[in-house]
Amino acid sequence: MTSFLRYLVIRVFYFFLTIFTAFSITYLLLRLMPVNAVENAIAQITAQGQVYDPQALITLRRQLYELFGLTGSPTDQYLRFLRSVFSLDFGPSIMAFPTPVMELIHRALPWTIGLLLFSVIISWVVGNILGILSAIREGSWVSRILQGVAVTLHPLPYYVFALALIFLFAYLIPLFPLTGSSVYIERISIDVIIGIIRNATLPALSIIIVSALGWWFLSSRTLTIRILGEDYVEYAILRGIPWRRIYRDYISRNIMMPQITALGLALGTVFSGAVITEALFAYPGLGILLFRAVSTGDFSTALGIVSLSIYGVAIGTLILDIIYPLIDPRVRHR
Amino acid sequence: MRVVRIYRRAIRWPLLLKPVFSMTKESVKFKAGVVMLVPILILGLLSIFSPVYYKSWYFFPKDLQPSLSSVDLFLGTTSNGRSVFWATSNAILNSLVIAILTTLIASHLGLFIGIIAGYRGGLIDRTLMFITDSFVVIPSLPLLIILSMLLKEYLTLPLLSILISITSWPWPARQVRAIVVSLREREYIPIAMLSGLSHAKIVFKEIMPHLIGWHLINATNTVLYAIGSEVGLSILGLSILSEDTLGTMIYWSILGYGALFRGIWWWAAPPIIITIIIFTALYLISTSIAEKIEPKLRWIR
Amino acid sequence: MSTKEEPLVMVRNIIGGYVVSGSRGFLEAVSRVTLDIHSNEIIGIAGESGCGKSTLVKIMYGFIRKPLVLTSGKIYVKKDGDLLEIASMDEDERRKKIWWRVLSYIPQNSMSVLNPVKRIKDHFIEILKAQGGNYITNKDAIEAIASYMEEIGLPREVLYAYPHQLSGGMRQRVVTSMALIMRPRVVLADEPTTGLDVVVQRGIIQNIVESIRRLGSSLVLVSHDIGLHAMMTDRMAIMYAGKIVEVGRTIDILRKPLHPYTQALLESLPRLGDKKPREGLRGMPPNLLSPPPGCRFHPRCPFAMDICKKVEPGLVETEPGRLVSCHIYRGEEHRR
Repeated sequence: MTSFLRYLVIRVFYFFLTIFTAFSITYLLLRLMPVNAVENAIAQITAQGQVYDPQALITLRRQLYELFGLTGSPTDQYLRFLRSVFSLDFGPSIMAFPTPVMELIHRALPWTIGLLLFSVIISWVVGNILGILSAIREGSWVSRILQGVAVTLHPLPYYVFALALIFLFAYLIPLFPLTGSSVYIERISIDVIIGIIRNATLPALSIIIVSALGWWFLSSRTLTIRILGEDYVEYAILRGIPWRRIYRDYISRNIMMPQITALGLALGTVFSGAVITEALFAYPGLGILLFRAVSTGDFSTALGIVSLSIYGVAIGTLILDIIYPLIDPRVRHR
Repeated sequence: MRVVRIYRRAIRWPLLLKPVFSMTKESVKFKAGVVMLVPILILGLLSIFSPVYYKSWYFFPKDLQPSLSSVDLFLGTTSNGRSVFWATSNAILNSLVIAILTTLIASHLGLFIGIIAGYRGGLIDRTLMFITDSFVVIPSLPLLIILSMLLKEYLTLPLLSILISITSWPWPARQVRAIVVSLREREYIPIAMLSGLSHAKIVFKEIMPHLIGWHLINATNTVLYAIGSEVGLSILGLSILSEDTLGTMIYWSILGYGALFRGIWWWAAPPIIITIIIFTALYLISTSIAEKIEPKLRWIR
Repeated sequence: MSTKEEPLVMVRNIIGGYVVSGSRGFLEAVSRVTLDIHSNEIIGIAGESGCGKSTLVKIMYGFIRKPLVLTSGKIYVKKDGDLLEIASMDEDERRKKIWWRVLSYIPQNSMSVLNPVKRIKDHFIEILKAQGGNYITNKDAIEAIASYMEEIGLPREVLYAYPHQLSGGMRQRVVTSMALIMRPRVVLADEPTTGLDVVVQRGIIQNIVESIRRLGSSLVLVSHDIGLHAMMTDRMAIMYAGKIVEVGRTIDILRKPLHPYTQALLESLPRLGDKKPREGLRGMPPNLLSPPPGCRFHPRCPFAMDICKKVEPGLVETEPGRLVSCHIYRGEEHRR
């Protein structure tokens, strides 16, 4: 098992390295912008028409300058940026001054994580099952219809499909709310639960349908077809092993490995797409927070969300990298 | 001498088109994709003829339902009294311009880096790939969002393209590099090197032909990605809101003016439907090229 | 090796081949093959690549999946005193009645036939469960398998390994032992030594032959390697372009090959002490999509006569147990 331990250590090290580089690159890009982020933000705030006490503005300006690391020497700025990003302290938000950014994110995060976990897991499972079935019954009309649907759905980003869904279900057949209501979770009651479900259905559906019927379906179908042609499946048939067992032990098990890898690679896209989809439905997660941050020019919050998404994707990939050897014995026992 | 070189290079262009024509005969997917795409392209090109007044607000009565009385009113009017038809036409063109500019930058940048990394190998390869991978870790849309937040005032079509390119170049780079690496291992590359061919010539004559197919696929996918990103940005209000693009039409109609609440479906529907069609069409084209290059994939039908 | 008893397997007039995509033709890989497999014998099927030997054993086993098609013919198998006919069964029947218990199969590509995510013991347990029902507990099964493996000479630890942890030779031995675990009457081995180096090859084949002899079963050994046949087989059948051209005791064929193809084949084998390279037969095997009329070998045969171009020769028994398909021996049918 020591080789596994070594693998783990290397992976974790790589994780930190990648995060570090990602943030550095983000920082570089931000600094390359010919725009002073602080002045920009303040200009946008004051343009909103809110009246700020001049003293508060000066404090705000100073804090923002510090936050964005625009004071001090270039190295100081860089280090301060890194420190704020690694300690998850993005300072006060602008749109809800002086509430700290992290608190706003804290409120919104559970919603987003809930939605993502739920949608991604369901779409992964459903998509893979459908793909396997379609490959097994290759040529049947069900398989062909599914393929046609998959080809249409797969290239769409979640939010584009969401737009179509909105059209259908919010406009033509008014079942779900067009814009979310901020369900404040004080205590769990039926109303709250129903509220959550009503709010989450359309965003979840957008993600699930596009994901399951799109990418997971197509990839698992291709994989299954390839596996069906493999020597070890032929040998299993020769030995008289019943098909039920072949589906379970040969096809599903051997599909899982590339599909889990694919899941890791897809995390970034899933997250990005989900965030915009949330914004579209005014779902009270990170999406709507981002939307409000953008419209109020709240750069700190936006930066906070972006940083969190970098963390999220990196951690997710790390977890999957750790799970993978547990499933693929070829990697586990070198 | 230079004349001869230019002449010879010009001769090569029709070679690019030949596979295109052969594919139109062979592949159902390709044909379907092109068939879907052409009307939209025509619609987009019609925007050249858009009347001078199409941008003026309240030129027409607002919120008019579609009617066949004139071209202007073919798709009705917006809540700003503008012709949905002309707006859509321009939107298509602008979105496509953004997408094509992005592709020109990003997929060629990716191609370039991929070739260098794959061909040279060693330290250069590892450094370039490390940079590429670090970009990959950053979720593209959030990064785009932040960047466009900052540049909101200065946003123009070219600038938006550059921004989207920043997030989309890593993927083709990785892919091209993988292909170049696998090609490099084949026997004829070391032989070419040993026979004294300059590196540039080797790249052009031995490696490029294999890459053209993938380059086309990457380009198509980048176009898709660019349109998707633009729509995504628009939903957050971060695109070029003063121009008509597929994204901004969606933004203004649904989010800005609540068109769906008020039943003004003819403003929101065209950009949505056209976006979906473009996606499907380009995807079909992309996979049909992929099937042609990797014949093994074809048997999976 | 008793030829007086009824054979275990009787292949009668098998015609089968591959449907070329687009239904533009049918590649007849096996043309009217008739062959008997007796109990307690090792019979080799020899011939060059593409002569149809692999296809023949697949058909014999009853493993006939697209694009392979069995056009006509019968395969009789003796089981517990009954005579079963494979061609008329569907795959389910074959699986339940024949596969692995009466007939067994050692495939060609032993390197890749094991499921990469399953341990070796699970492969065995799979077979036992599929063949014997679920009343076997895992522990009992593993014990039985372990002792069985030790008989074959495989260490117990192999059971707990994953396929990728074993060497090619090991995997081949595992595959061999898997084929024998239900004690089948006939084992069909399709080029079991491809891809292995010569030293390992010999060990493997000896291992297979010993296990077969110990069980008292029969072995059908498909190989293009005549040296292998010479070493291991009791009888031999030579195939060319989908047809059987000569059958007989291996020693007899090697000493006195009757068919011109066999003669050329044996002539071309390098021997110790050769000073210069040997000449092979000129020409190529025919295109099986449209084979030549008459005897399929006639374009390359140094003894071709007029009749060879028009009429296909049938199998003629020149001595008891010695069959040859060539017009030269017409009329030399042994009078019993």
